[in-house]
Amino acid sequence: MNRIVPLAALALLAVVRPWPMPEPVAPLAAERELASLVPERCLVYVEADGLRPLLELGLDHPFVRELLASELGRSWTSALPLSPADAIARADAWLGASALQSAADVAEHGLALGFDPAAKKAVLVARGHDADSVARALALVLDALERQFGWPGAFDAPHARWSGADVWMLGEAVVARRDELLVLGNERELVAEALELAADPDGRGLLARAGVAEHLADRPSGIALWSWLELAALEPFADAGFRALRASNRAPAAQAILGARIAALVSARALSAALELGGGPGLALHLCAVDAAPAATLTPLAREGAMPAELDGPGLARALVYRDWGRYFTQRTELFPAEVLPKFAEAVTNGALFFEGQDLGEEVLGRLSPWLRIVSRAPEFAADRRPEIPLPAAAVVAVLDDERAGEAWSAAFQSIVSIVNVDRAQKGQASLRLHLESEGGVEISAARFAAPAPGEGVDVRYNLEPALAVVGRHLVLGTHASLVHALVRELAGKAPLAAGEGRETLELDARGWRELLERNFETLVANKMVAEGRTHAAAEQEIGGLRHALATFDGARLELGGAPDAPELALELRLARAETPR
Amino acid sequence: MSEWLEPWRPSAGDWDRAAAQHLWRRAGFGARPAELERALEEGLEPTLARLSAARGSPELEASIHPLLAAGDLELLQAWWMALILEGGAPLRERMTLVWHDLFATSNDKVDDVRLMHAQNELLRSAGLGDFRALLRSVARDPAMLRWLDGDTNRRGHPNENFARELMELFALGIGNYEERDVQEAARAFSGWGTSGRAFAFRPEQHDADEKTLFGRRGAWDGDDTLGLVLEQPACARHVARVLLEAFVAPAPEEEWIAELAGVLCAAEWRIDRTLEVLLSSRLFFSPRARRARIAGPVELLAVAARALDAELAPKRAARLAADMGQALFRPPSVKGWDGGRAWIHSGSWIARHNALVALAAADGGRDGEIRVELAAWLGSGEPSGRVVERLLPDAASARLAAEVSSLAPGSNAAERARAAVALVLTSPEFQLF
Repeated sequence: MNRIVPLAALALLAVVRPWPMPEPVAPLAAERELASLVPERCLVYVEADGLRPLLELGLDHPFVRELLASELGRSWTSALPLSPADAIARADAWLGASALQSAADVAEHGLALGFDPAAKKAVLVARGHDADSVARALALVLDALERQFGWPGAFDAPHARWSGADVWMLGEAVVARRDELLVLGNERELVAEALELAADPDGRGLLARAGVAEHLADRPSGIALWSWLELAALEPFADAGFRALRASNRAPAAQAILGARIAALVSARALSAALELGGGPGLALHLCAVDAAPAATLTPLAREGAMPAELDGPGLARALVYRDWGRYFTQRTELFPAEVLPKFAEAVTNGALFFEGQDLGEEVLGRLSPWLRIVSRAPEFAADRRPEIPLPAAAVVAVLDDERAGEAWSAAFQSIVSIVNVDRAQKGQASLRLHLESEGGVEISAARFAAPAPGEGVDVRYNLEPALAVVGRHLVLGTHASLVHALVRELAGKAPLAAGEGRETLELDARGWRELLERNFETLVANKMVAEGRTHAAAEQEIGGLRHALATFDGARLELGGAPDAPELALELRLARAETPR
Repeated sequence: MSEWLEPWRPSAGDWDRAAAQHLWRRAGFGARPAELERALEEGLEPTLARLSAARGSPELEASIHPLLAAGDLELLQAWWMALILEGGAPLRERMTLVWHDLFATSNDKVDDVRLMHAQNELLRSAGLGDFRALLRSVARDPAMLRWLDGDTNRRGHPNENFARELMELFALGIGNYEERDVQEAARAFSGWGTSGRAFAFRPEQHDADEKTLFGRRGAWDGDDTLGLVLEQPACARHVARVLLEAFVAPAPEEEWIAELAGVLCAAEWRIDRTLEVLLSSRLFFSPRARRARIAGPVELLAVAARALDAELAPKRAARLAADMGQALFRPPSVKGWDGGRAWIHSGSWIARHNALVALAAADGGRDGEIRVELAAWLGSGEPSGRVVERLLPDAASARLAAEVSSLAPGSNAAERARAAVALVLTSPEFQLF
């Protein structure tokens, strides 16, 4: 009797109130963004779209062909245990079907990865061509796993059904399929949340985060990868270096090196990044900051000023940047934290000493246009002082508001050299000799060490031959006199330019860096041996890797633009074509 | 020759792991496991011959040349540390360090890495040869002249720095000269200076008048002065004392000193022949010499790394040694490092402890600058027992052995091995060489 009562109650319940059946789940709308299927707690998001042509053509895709023909591609493939073709053939054999075709079917309408740093878990969402092809591809993978690990039948039937999706589990790893949607993750909750979002026609997922929907909508066409990073929310999970970078806006050194735009970009609330595979051999990266709070008075065009005239081709590197040194000083109390202000006060005092009592911020740096050109080239050395370790020379070209202001700069340069000499003499070190030289009628102040005695060796300090010249309104200050001479020749007769749109640029020529590496190859090998204890062969191999990496690229171009609160960075890398077949 | 310096004739079983380890630690910077096995197999004489090898890897020796132009002392320190760790010419490097401590010269004042390197090469190339030639070369060495103010030693204004240290520290020792000898020797060295990076004699700055040195009167110059110093009986005794302190025990007996000074003179002042006698003597292998010295930082690191068959990045090793109180090319004063108990004080002890623990903790690729595989080093068997056997074949106290064997029995073998190695390396027993 005791047993009959509960059974009867259950039977009655079944009649009166049947078991809740799973409600039918609405099909996934065609226009649903993959980001709306990734849980909002994911702070790092990457999606790839338009992969079918790449996957279907495989090694025959034009970009893949270009990539494999490049030095980078050759470098990668030569380091792999299998050639790309063999790797694909092996994957085909394991799967018992075309792996690339299966992948193309699964990722037909995109692939997205979300990462939750708090849980250190990730979820992958793929939207395939149709339910059948995705089911087929998944079945092939599950069968292959059963064969490989000797688990016959382990994945024949789904282990569960969540939000209308069939679910297979292996420890914490979960794979789920609902129609043409495939969800994979290393945390059950994360996968379940993604499936719930997919089942909810109004599910917003990551789109609920401010800015994501707008930036997704604005992403340029032809994108290979698009990413969203919640920088501010990532801070608690990052290291001290990341947090220091995030504080760039208020750090004078970061402002001076990175500039106001990059400082704002890295300290923004969030960042979107798009990586595009170019038509030719190259990659393009585009970053957009979201909710940046820039140091407004330091961003380009905040102050009027001319740009230095154009200079010859990149050499090692060439840049046009906006750095308002004057405002660093005149607005220092508003721009920077109190603990760095004593350093500014010290600089102002020293500046007055060298610049005839003038105020460094207002009367010296404030009279320079904030637009600067920076160049780096391999300098020419005199035969008797060619350093055993040659380093690149660099120079900065600025525009003075008045040509006559150049006199104070020349005098300051000479005073600084004299003071440096006093300090060096106190330490028993060699002095710099001051020279007044001429280039096309322009006076150049230069300082050089005396040539070493024959056989004594030419130390690294001979890389330093500081020089300064004033060409019309252009002020040229360089680490090596030969570079300043060259720039004086290039600037002769040229007037400064109007500021234009306010874009900042940096160009790098890999060929120049390759030559520099070759000249210092043995030194770098020796350094590796001595510092790290490598054998000569091992050190040569490691530095050879650097040589290989440099051979990978022809050059790079970086451009900064965008609104002050939404700075943008565009980087183009040009891959080098391999010259000889291997 | 006294019985102390008679050749040691080990009877069966005397030439054991402890004896071979003692020889490798003193005449070099410790043995790697394979080197120790080979020493046990070959015996004393072939091992001594191997330790006296003239050269290490030519590529490593030459590797400093392209780097000298950088003027980076850390690279020079790392290079010497690399030669020490490599162990290609153990006795030569050991003797170079002994001379660096005796003719202590610091880059803090010389401020020229090329000159420091040149002096180091001088100590290396001449360090096992005729001491008289070495002393004469050191006196003309540009780094030494800068260090002890040769350039300011002028007629009428003698600078006594070099003359004083020559007598007090380098060649005679206190009590073997008079103040007047220092003053007169300074006059004799006047005009010895540098031109660029080379030795230069400036006749116009040299005091050519007569001087009285050690009771003898003449128009002595610098070379004459060195000759007179070398003629003093105290000089051979001073060198013998230096060798005994470095290779035998910190406070050598007068009898040993006198005997070894005799050997030195009979060997025409050749250091290699003198050491050949000393390092194969009964004294060297006697209990009086075993574990009689507190290891200095450089030798401690090198011996520990080599004993574990570890690869320690030389730059890291040089930094660790500096943290422990021995920055190569930067001795604290012209007296060199005080050594002995001075190596152990609260600050340096923590640095020694941390450095040695880091060696053990690097097991299995945990540290990019230290490669050590304790499982391979130990072979099979219970790690804790083998660690003591490998690192302290003769000196493990019962207390240490008990502590090692009681290490966390629940932990896995790799963890026990790391803990046992750290415990043994940081023990006082291991740090007595």
